Amino acid sequence: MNPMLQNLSNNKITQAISKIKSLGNPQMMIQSMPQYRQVMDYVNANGGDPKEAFYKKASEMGINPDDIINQLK
Amino acid sequence: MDTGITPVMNMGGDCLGGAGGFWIFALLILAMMGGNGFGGFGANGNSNAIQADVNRGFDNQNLQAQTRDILSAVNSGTAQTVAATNQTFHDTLAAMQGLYNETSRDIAALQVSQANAIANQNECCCSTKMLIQQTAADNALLMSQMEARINAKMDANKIEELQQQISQLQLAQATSGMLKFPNSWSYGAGPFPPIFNGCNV
Repeated sequence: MNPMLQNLSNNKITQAISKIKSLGNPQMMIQSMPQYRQVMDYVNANGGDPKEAFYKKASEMGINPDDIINQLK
Repeated sequence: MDTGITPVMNMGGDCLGGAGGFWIFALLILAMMGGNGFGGFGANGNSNAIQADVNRGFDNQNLQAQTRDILSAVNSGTAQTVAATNQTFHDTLAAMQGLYNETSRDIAALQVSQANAIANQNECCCSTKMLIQQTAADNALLMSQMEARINAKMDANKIEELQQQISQLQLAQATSGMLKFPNSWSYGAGPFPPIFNGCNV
C-alpha cells in the first residue's frame, strides 16, 4: 500500500465511495462534486482519455493506480 | 477494464461527458486525495488555486475533526477525572465515617468500662469502709465485754471476800463473850464445863 494512501484518510475515501454507491444517481453526484470540473479540464488537456489521464496523474502523484482501483471494487 | 474489478458506474459509456465514468471517478478520488503533486488538474490558471483551497478545506476539516477529537478526549478525560475524584471523595468520606463510627463505639465502650470500674471502685471503697466500721464496732463491743467481764470478775472476788469478812465479823460478834465449846477435846484439859472457882458463868 502506498504510504500516501495510508496517510490520506482511507476511511473518508471509502465512505465517499460507499455513499456514491448507495445513491440512486451516482452520475449526478459525481458531476456535482467541486473537483469534477478540474478533473474534466485535466482529462481534456491530456488527450481526452480518462484512463490515460488517471494513470498519468497517479504517476505524477507517486501513487500506485491499482491501490485506487482496488478501492473502487 | 481489468478482470475482477466492479466499477461503480459505466466505464465505457458517454454518461460523463464522453469519458469513462469509472476513470473519471478514479481521477476524482485522486483529486480528493490532493497533495503537492496534484496541482496539474485543470487547463486554466485557476486550478492550482482551486486545488489549494480544496486541500486547505480538507486540512481544515482534519484540524476540526482533530480538534473535536481532542476536545472530546479532554471532555471525556475531565469527566472521568471528576468522576474518579468524586468517587475518591465519597470513598474517603465513607471511610472516615466508618472510622468515626468505630471510634465513637470505642469511646462509648471505654465510657461504659470506666463507669463500671468507677462503680466497682466505689462499691469496693464502700465495702471497705463498712468493714472498717464493722471491725471498729466489733472491737468496741469486744473491749466493752472484756472490760465488763474483768470488772465483774474483780467485783465478784472482792464481794465474796468482803462477805467472808462480814461473816467472820458477824460470827465473831455473835460469839463474843460466849463460852466456846471446843471442837475437840484434849486429854487432861479438865472437866467441862470448866469450873472457875465454883462459880458457873
